[in-house]
Amino acid sequence: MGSLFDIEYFFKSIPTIAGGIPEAMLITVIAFVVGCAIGLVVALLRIYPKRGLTRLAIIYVSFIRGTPLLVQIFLAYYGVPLIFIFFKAGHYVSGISAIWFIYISFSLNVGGYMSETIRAAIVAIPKGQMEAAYSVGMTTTKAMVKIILPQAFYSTLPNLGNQFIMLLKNTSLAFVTSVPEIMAEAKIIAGRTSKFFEVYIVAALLYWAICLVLEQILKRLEAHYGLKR
Amino acid sequence: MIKVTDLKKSFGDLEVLMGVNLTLSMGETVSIIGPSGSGKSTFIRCLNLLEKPNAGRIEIDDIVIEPPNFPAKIVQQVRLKVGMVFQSFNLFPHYTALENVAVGLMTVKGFSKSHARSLAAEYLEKVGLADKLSNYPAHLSGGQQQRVAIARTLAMSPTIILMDEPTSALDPELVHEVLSVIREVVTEHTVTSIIVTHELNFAKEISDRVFFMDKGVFVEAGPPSELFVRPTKDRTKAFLAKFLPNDDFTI
Ligand SMILES: Nc1ncnc2c1ncn2[C@@H]1O[C@H](COP(=O)(O)OP(=O)(O)O)[C@@H](O)[C@H]1O
Ligand SMILES: [Mg+2]
Repeated sequence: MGSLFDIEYFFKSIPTIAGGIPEAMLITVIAFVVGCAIGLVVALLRIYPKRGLTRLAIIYVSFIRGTPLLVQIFLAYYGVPLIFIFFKAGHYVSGISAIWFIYISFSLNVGGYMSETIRAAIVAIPKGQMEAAYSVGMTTTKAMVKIILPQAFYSTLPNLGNQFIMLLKNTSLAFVTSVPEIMAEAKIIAGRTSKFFEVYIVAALLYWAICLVLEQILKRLEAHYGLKR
Repeated sequence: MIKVTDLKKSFGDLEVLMGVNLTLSMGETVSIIGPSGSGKSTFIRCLNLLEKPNAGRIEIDDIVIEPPNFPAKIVQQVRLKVGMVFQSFNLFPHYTALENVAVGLMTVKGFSKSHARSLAAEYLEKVGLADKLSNYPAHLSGGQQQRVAIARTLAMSPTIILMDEPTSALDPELVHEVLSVIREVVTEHTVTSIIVTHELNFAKEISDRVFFMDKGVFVEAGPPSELFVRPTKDRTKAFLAKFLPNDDFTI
């Protein structure tokens, strides 16, 4: 241990750790898309109640918001195989890559939070919009698709962007299942060389850089869609 | 033809419509006047089932609505026949003027995009907005927005048009342009129109009949030449005295 900070090693470790970026992005995009879909369904179930399903949706959201993501990841990791075994399909479990448990737990997590965002955005649309849609003869479904959801989307775009960025940062938790994202890569080489600080600084800077890029993209999107209101 | 029989509507404990009766024939233009809170909006919103009446009966041509049953299919049929213009315009802010008019033609009538857009452009031209097709509502004045809303309603070719105080939300200098569009609509088209308005001079000019509503019932109705000049009920007289303090209404 010559110096306090091994600048050479810092630079040398960048490519390896950056190798985790695609995996991190993939988790983010998949969980975001699936989570939006789940969130939309849950939001609609709460706006247009369907007895049993709505109760289930409320419990789901409460559970997701009331438990740590890390715990949810472990639950998926150890729980999903149990479900397979319960349905007498246990022999498939060993063939499932850990990444699927991450996709499942992250999607469910995003879905829980997203449902609240989407619901708030929908109920904030003035009542007159639905009435105008009805008055030209639209059904509730058509009015939702053509009139309400697009407006809800534009108005909540900043929130969606924030959740996307939050999600990207949360993918760092996936290292616990050895999915090779940024944090997992960092942990592996840090363990080999004991140069923890150098390695985690690289990881931090990478997350930061990605978030800055995402924020710029988000700004552009907001400027573009903002024109429509 | 519209026939409303003993229509009742409450919001919780608040009885708003206490048995409203009305019969209109094809192509008639009528105005509803009356003090604020008397149930005018609630009544016309019942006619396209934005409000669900509690009792009574509505017949629109061959469609019969009998509370408490509102089958989705009937509701849909009613709304295809009955268009509505709102006090606050309710344009779709994420669509241009053209798209506001075209969206119903495409999603409800199933017209192709190009057909819907060219038809929409025609209707916007009719209301004097040929040069505003690609403006978003936020970039239109109140009067222009209400004219887009009228074009949007006309484009669906309803047989009945309801208007709920179509000029009340407008700055005084913009009222005129909207009134002249409405005047054209009721004279040139074969629609049946029901207009809730506080513009009594306008009501007098365009209406075949005027209905005076107070406390959830029609107190009195008749051609403007009679209702405005020789009201028979005290409540009508009191209302008109307040709104027509001068002698404008000698014919
Ligand atoms: N959705 C509603 N919920 C509760 N009360 C309502 C609702 N809509 C209207 N009202 C009440 O019904 C009465 C009649 O209202 P409205 O039909 O709007 O009268 P008008 O159009 O003649 O001014 C008012 O007392 C109003 O507060
Ligand atoms: Mg009203």
